[in-house]
Amino acid sequence: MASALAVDVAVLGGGPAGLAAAAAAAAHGCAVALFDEGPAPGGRLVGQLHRARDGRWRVGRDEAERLRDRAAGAGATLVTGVSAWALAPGWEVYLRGDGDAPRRCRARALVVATGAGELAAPLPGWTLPGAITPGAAQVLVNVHGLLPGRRALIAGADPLGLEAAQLLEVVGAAVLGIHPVAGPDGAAEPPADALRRLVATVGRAAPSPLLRAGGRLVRRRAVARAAVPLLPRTVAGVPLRLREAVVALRGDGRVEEAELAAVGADGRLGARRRTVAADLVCVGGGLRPLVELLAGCGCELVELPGLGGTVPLHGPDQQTTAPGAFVAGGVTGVEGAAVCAAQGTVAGLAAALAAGAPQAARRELAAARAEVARQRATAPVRFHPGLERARARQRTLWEARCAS
Amino acid sequence: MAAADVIVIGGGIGGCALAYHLCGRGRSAIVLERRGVGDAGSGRNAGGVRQQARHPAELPLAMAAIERWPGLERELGAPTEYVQRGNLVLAQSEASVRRLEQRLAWQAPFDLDSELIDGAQLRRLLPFAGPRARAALHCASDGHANPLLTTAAFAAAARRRGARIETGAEVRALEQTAAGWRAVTDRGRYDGEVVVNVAGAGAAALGALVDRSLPIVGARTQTLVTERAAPLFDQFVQDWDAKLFARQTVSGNVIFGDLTEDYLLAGRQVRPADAVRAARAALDALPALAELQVIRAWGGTLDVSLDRMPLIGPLDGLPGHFVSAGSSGHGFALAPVVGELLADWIVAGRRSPLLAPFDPARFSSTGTVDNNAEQAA
Amino acid sequence: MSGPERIARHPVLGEVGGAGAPVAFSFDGRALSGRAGEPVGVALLAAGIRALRRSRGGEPRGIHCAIGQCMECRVEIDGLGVRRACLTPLRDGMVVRTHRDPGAADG
Repeated sequence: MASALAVDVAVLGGGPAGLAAAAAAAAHGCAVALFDEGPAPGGRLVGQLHRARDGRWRVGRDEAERLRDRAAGAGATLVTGVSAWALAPGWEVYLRGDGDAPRRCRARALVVATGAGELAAPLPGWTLPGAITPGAAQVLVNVHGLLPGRRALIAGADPLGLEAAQLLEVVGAAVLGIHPVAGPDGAAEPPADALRRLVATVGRAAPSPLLRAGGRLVRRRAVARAAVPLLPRTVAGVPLRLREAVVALRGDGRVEEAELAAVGADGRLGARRRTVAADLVCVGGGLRPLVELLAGCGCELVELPGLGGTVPLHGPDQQTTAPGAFVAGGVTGVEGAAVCAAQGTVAGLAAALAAGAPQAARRELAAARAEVARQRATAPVRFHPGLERARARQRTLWEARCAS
Repeated sequence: MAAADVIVIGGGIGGCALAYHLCGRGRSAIVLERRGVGDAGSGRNAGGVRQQARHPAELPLAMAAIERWPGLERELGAPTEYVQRGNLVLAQSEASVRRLEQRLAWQAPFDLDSELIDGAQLRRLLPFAGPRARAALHCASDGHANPLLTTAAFAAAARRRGARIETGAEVRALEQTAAGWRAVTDRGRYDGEVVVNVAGAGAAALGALVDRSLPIVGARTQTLVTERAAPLFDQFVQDWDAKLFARQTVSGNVIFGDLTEDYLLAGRQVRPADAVRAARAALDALPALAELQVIRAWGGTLDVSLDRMPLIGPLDGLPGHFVSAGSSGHGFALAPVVGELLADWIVAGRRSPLLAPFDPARFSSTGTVDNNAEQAA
Repeated sequence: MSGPERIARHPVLGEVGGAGAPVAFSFDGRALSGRAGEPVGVALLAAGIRALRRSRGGEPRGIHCAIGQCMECRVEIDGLGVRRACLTPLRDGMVVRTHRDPGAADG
């Protein structure tokens, strides 16, 4: 491959958003190159595996393959094993990879679809080999076919943790429980709040009928507090233990046990401790958009906790404040793969138009935008409660920016 | 609405050191910082703590500052990673050697341990110097420190002495009041008898709020950081032909970047082309770095003044209004002593002779430090 | 407790993991085998090796995020340092060594 490429549209990130963007732009005649760090495109989607409320498994690998084929079939060039380390407006993408990987890519328009990364939930012992993120469990088990341990504990009672519990359980690991993580100040989330948060995020899709049914009721704090003792003992066969927090991990050179403490109604930890033997602990602190490349090239960013952190300010066509740079997927806020892909289509069309594609692309924009809204409305999981509010706030900020 | 004796605008090392010393002299201080402590120049500069190769007007100030540095960690009760193992300015070309000789001549009246060494002596001190370096200026009592840690140390020490530091507080208006000054920010209004503009690259905009035009612009810096390596060198190294600075931190990372101030635009963007140029410059001067991987980079700002010398002092026609900005890339080392001397000036009304060359008024007459020095001679 | 194990057949996904041919590689001089194309870190895990390096404090560190974001799995591969074991595909004859930060205790 040439060391310097020149294309119409460069797409950074080969997850669902990037693949959809590449397909949309290429379908309208643009020369498209997509760059991804991993050995194969698909991003976090490839490892995803969860059971929907109808009991059927959603296999990320299959969906990723469909998206990949569509992008390649439309004529996009997919380059893997290469990292983008800087962007210069104009646009110039600076790349680094092994062997004859390209070093530069000039593009008339850019779609940045770098996704979201996992946040740490530090606790003593979290650096021991065997302590991994829930996302790592997805990748190791479902992509690489490796079960890193046989006795697993989930530290972090959130959508990712629940999915990790499911995927480990299905391949025969003993998943001992889903627990919250104690914070550095020696307290954990009050169980009633943890319940409300769980319901607000996974309630719609919860494999537990009780969580689904109780959803609306539990949103009221008083009801949540009363409901805590009635919590389902298990979620998809895995004990849900919101009243017991993980306070430390221990082992000789690797994770061997986890120390747990009872959590009072106010979140304070009890003095009593319990230790369980575990050789695999998924420690999760949520996801945050990976905006570093955008920050480095002058795109305006805005902080919105409901979207997972700092996101690029963007408009309805996924355009940023940097001319010719569009964004899609997890980098705009943490949402599920279907929403990411829908955003990717919008961004790809808009980028294609910015790069000079025929106006036929414009006719598809409205439908593509509507698809984003539709996917969002029917999304089974919200990664952050308050997502809709945050999206609305983002829109307001964008409109204010345009007006100024 | 809050009030203090002194409102310090700018939460870099200048503002924090000033607040620390003001509080030490029994005055109350509020520091207003528009982003975070050390976010601009103070947290992103090269970290050099040197005396040699400075303009003679700065040399006495720098020599006074060097006396403070060894005891600073103890004084502030926080790490600075200060290392006093020398400064080396490498020269490849004849022209650069002559410039080094000129610096040596400038330094002659002062009792500084700075000497011109040849290639062989250089390679004994810095085995990794590239083949083209033919001479260097060496000062054994110079060194380097961690700018972000040092700034944070001053901030914490200032707070312990009672200073209030407000972050996310950008000053939108500055008004004169009966008692002195009022700074208006999105976070509230702050009243003080005295106001000090220590706003670095933002100093000119702040000056405009009171209708003063300060000849200070923002310039971009570009810094790269390598993975940790075994100890390779402990001096602060500059190369005038390669236009490079480099130092190795106590963790082992090599921090390096461009010396040029040609980028007269503010902004924290990493410009990839600049990063590539800096990397090439580093390999030119210190070829051994080729084995190391660059793991991160940052863009930063310098506040560069018209004559590349700081502006320190009161502003004409504005009682109780001081400025201390425009250190043009060589202010970090001076910060501990400037903070102290400026605090003295504000509290006791006495200006130290060390600060005399930096009177902001110089720009309203013929201009630069050099011109005024010629006139005085 | 047993070590990491390869999943012969996933109840939902069927075939998972690297389908490449078995290849030989070494880790700190130790002769090992893995599947061509799978991440070096996965091959190491399958061989029971969890600790890929030592931190400055001498602590063992291994794969954490498995997707190239955290840099915890950095190893030296064929003489090049700071390579991510979770992303770098295994090739026949690869020489992998622990990435050692300076000052780390010998482990």
